[in-house]
Amino acid sequence: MTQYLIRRILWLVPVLFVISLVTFIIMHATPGGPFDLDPTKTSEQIVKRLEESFGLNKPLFLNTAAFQETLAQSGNWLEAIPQLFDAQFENYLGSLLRGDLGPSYRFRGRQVNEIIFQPLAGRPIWESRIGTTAVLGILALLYALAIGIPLGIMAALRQNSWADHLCLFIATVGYGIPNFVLSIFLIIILAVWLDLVKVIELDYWSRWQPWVLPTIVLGTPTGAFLTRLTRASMLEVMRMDYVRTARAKGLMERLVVLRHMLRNALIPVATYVGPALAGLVTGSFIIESQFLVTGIGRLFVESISRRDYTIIMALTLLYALLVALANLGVDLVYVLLDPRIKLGKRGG
Amino acid sequence: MAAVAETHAQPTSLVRAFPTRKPASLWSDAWRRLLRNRASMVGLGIIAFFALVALLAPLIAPHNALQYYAGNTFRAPAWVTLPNDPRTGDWRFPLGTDAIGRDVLSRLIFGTRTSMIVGFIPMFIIVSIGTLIGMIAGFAGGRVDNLLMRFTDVVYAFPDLLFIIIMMTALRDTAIGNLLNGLVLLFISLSIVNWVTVARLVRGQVLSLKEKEFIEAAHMIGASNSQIMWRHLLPNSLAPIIVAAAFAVPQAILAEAVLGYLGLGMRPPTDPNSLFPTSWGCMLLEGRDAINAQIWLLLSPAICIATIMLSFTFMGDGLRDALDPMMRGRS
Repeated sequence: MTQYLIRRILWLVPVLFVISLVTFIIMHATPGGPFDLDPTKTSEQIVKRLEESFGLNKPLFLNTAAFQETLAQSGNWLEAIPQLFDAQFENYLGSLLRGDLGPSYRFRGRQVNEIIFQPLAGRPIWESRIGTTAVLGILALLYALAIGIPLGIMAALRQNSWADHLCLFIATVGYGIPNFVLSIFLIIILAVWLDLVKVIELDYWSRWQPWVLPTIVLGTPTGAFLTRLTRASMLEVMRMDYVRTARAKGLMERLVVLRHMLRNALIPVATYVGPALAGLVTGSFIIESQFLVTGIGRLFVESISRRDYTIIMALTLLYALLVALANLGVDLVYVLLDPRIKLGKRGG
Repeated sequence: MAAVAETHAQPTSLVRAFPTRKPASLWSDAWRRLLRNRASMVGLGIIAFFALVALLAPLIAPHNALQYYAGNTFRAPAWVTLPNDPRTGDWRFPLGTDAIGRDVLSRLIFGTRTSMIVGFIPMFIIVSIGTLIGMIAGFAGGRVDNLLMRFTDVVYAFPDLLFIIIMMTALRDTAIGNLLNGLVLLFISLSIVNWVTVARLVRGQVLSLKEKEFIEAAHMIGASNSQIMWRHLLPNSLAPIIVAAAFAVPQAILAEAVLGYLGLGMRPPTDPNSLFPTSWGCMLLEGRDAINAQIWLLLSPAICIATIMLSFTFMGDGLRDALDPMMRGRS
């Protein structure tokens, strides 16, 4: 078990390495650079200076020029070889290992770490960009759980009744409609036609109202999926022998449902919570842009059009790490909840 | 003579009395189950309708999607009458017009084309690559399997939509990015990230089939590896492949819409004879900017996207239930 865990965690290293390499290559394959639209770009010289100060004038992977120069000057291989790796990608990886995501190219004078993780001066940590996205993700997850699990249980307990069919239909609709289209509908109905809500909220922290729409929109597909998952897993558990045994020994129906069915039926649901949260956090960028939430999703969308390489890299890695950790978490939760499962055994 | 004829007549009449039914195959069974599923038949009908609209777009559309009519900007839909307002509804433009006086309905009809092609072409690529790699990994096993699966793990770890966004932004101005107004680049990006799901599915299927008796029997009678793969393993893994394909199409359509909405989708061409003059994603972006001027510019593509996504979801669900009764009701 421990061995399996260690192997899984170590496997993250090459995965993240390849992801950063691929992102790096794609971004540098693009014509044009981060300073094309820069307001300070008044002459070629300034762009050159900017590139120099960010180390963008160096080669991408192997600095053969510096290597040959040092080798010619000192003739010492040991001194020259580090020069070979004085290139953009290696420098980036180096600072990444030190936990430094580098400087932003467009928020001049600011570090990516600061932009992503630090709130405005004097504000609590959850008001940072990543904190905002996490809060939105957690709210959406809670909403999804609060909707999905009761609906799923209800549908399963009345299998094939009209209530079941209705639940299943609503769940399929909620799962099928993409959340940003759902938000378009809600905005048109609630804001444009009925004039009930304000869509453009600049301050999310003084009131709770602005969170309602983004939470609902983000959480609905997940809630719908959870409904279907809970229902399916309940239906499976209901046919189990231990449920029949529990009934046969005269246990109250309520206790059969609570103690025997729910406990086991919720295992798949519990394992899905981790990936669901990861999905909500990584999938919120379009919702954040729609509702002007200052989270990392909106930052990603804006950085893309600004070609802020370091922020794009940092967020891609962050997202990949989140998804990977969530998938790792699934296996752990499985073991904790179902003692029959053993990890790391072949064929299991 | 007569007696002989009589004795002959008997078996034929017997045959007629007890007609031997062709044994129902797995596929015809599945097809019957699918036909019984009302929701998925409605879905299939809607998909067929959209496909037809996409094919016949030039015949159906009242106007050219890029033709603009002076003095007709932001015209309201036909059923809205605004007295003393030049923007009042006009049946020449059933869903109204956009910021430069182009007919919204015609644009919607031509946009269907783009969405359909974006849905189906990557699906074929994804299914072919995924099946091939999954089959090889599952069948070869050992080191090949390990290598291929580690590779798919890496691709799988990449957040798909982010990868597509990065690709679309970075390679927009290159030669590939310009093919078919950026659609080719979209096909490529979609295919790169999405084949892994199919590959994993097929590999799992092949791994379990490999141990079955009929494969052993095929080995025994001296069937070659490629014969076993294409004659026995592929047809038997077809059911999950079909279901995965049914879900890959709406995913691609959705990706196009998201990209278009972010302004990273296809580049609207200027050539009036272009086959793909606009897309639902592009229309969403235009509609978002005109939300207060002409709401149908945003509402109509949103309704279309929601409808087609729902149709595919219902049809995919039905297909899964039909092809694998054991899976019924599971998500």
